Amino acid sequence: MILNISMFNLLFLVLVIPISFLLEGIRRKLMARMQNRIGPPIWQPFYDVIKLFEKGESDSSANENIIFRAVPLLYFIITFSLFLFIPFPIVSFHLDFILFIYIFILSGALYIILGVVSNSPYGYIGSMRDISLMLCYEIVFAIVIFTFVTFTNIQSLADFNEMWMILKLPIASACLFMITLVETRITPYDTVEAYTEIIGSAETEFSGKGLAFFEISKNLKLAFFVFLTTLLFFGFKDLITFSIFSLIMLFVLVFTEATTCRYRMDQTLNILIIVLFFAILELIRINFMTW
Amino acid sequence: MHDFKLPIGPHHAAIDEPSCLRVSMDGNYIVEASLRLGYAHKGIEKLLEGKRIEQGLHIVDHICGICSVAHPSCYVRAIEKMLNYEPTPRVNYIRTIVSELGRVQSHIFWAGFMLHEIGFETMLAYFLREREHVLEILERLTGNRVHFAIHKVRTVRNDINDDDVRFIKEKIAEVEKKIPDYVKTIETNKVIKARLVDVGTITKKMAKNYSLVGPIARGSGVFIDVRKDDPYEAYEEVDFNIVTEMNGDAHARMLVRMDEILESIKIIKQLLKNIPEGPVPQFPPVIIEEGMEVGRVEAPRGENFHLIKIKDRKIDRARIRPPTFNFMSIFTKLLEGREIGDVPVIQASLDPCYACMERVVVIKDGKTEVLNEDDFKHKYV
Repeated sequence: MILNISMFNLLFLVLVIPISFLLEGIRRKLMARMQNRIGPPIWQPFYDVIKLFEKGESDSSANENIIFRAVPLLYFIITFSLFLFIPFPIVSFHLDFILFIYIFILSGALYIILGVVSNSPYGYIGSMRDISLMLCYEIVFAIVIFTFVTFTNIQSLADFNEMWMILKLPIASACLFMITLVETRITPYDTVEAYTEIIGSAETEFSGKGLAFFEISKNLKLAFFVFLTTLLFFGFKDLITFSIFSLIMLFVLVFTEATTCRYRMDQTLNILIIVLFFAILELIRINFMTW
Repeated sequence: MHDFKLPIGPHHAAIDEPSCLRVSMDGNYIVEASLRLGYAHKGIEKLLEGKRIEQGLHIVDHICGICSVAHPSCYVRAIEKMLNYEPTPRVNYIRTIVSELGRVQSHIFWAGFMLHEIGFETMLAYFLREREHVLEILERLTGNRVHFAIHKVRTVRNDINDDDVRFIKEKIAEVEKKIPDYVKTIETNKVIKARLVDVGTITKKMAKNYSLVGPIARGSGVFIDVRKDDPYEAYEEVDFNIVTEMNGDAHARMLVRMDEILESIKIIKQLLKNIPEGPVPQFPPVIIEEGMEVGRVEAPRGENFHLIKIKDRKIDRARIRPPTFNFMSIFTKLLEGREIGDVPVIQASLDPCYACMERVVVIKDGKTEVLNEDDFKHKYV
């Protein structure tokens, strides 16, 4: 195992939470401007999380369950650890992308546990939905990462230094974009958290510090996907270009959210199966077909 | 997951007013649904009893915030029938303008919330922006943005002048410019169609059997509209169409309401063009010794019905049947076999207004008493 501990990497790891809050703040502001509203200040996510840490826990029966109290923290740690690999790898070793995929799936699994232990029917339904969808989208994610790794012929994510992969692997890129929408709960695929249907599923019962960790994890996940898609689609040349492309990617995500409405559960599943088919097609294309 | 019961309400993000819907689920699908009401019961009918006619008008104005012009309009129609009084043409025109503006704002508000239920927040924001123009007109005409009833017995609260007419024309033109774009989005957007088409389908036969009224019946191809069937105010003098769709699903109901906005704007423009000159009568005291009459008008949600009985110059009994009352009979039936994600869509597509609807809750010894027609007649009549 190689630890790429440089000043820059460590600084990024320390600053990734504030950066994710900033991205969330920009997202809210962009969304508001698209909806003809003024919107909250960019610093609003900071205020929200600080306020949540000051608040007490709710007196729900689920709160007596130790798992209910521990899982938000675990979810936060696992989501945070995704940044060890992307976008500036601190940990790298031979075939490290397998561990990366494992950690990613673990983060999804913890979200399901969050819903189940919350002792709320809406949490159960959200978890049920996530389990059904996970069978598709986590596989697609794994296939897409394999596609990128095989195409670039790298041994570790740290070696990834290709540019403009979106032009070389268009179908895999499109699949990854779809997975980003599902994972970051952006319409049309925010079925798992559908606010007007199941009131945000897992987060219904959380309050105080638990909800604060939940919020931080959600912001981290958005930042993670923005960085991941930017890195895989456009590549990393220098920090300024990377930041600009990240903001463009964020804009695309917000624009998608602002201009679509939500698919129903069964419709989302049908679309994800098609995405799975295309992801497999791309993997076959780059391995066995050359044109 | 058999017998998994999910409570939706009384507090829920998808429903704007309190109601408790209990759905039994089999996996992701609804097997059975039951609705419990009574959370928004205000005792309006009892409140009306013993009040003077002028006081009664003020109370019916406050039944509902969205269709707050439909109830006074209905009440005034019943009272004027008792008085055998035909208002002057100018009064009729002003009343009709406000009624139609009420319909426009109600439909715009509903369309925004319908799209909000399926996660289209941007359209909600846009629709609320358009509604703001209509609310500005109503504020200027009546002095209120929410309780904008302009009706008084024999007359109206405020007259309108040339400046008002110009103001209405300007604002209405802005709404008229934008609505066709939104209609186009609703007609063509694939995701909206995927969520609304074939959801909550009501056939023409079902609509008739369940006595449905308003845009819901018209969405199923039933030609029913009090404005045409039993014209009141100035509806006889304007040219407009009854908008109908044949599919009977949530999408059809949406299109009916969107087209009705344009029809209402057409009516308002005609009225503004031909508004008769002349003074608006003063407001003399209303004295009726005894009498009983019914009034019915076309509220934004459908036919609104008031029965008013006067005894000794005071209201002896009032019966109010708003359009939502009819919709609730079919609501739980439409949910059966649907996915849980369709609940907000079906509920919103029916546009229920519980504040309007909740009239009577019979609770005896902690149990709800449910009687069929024969038992009821045997026991109470």
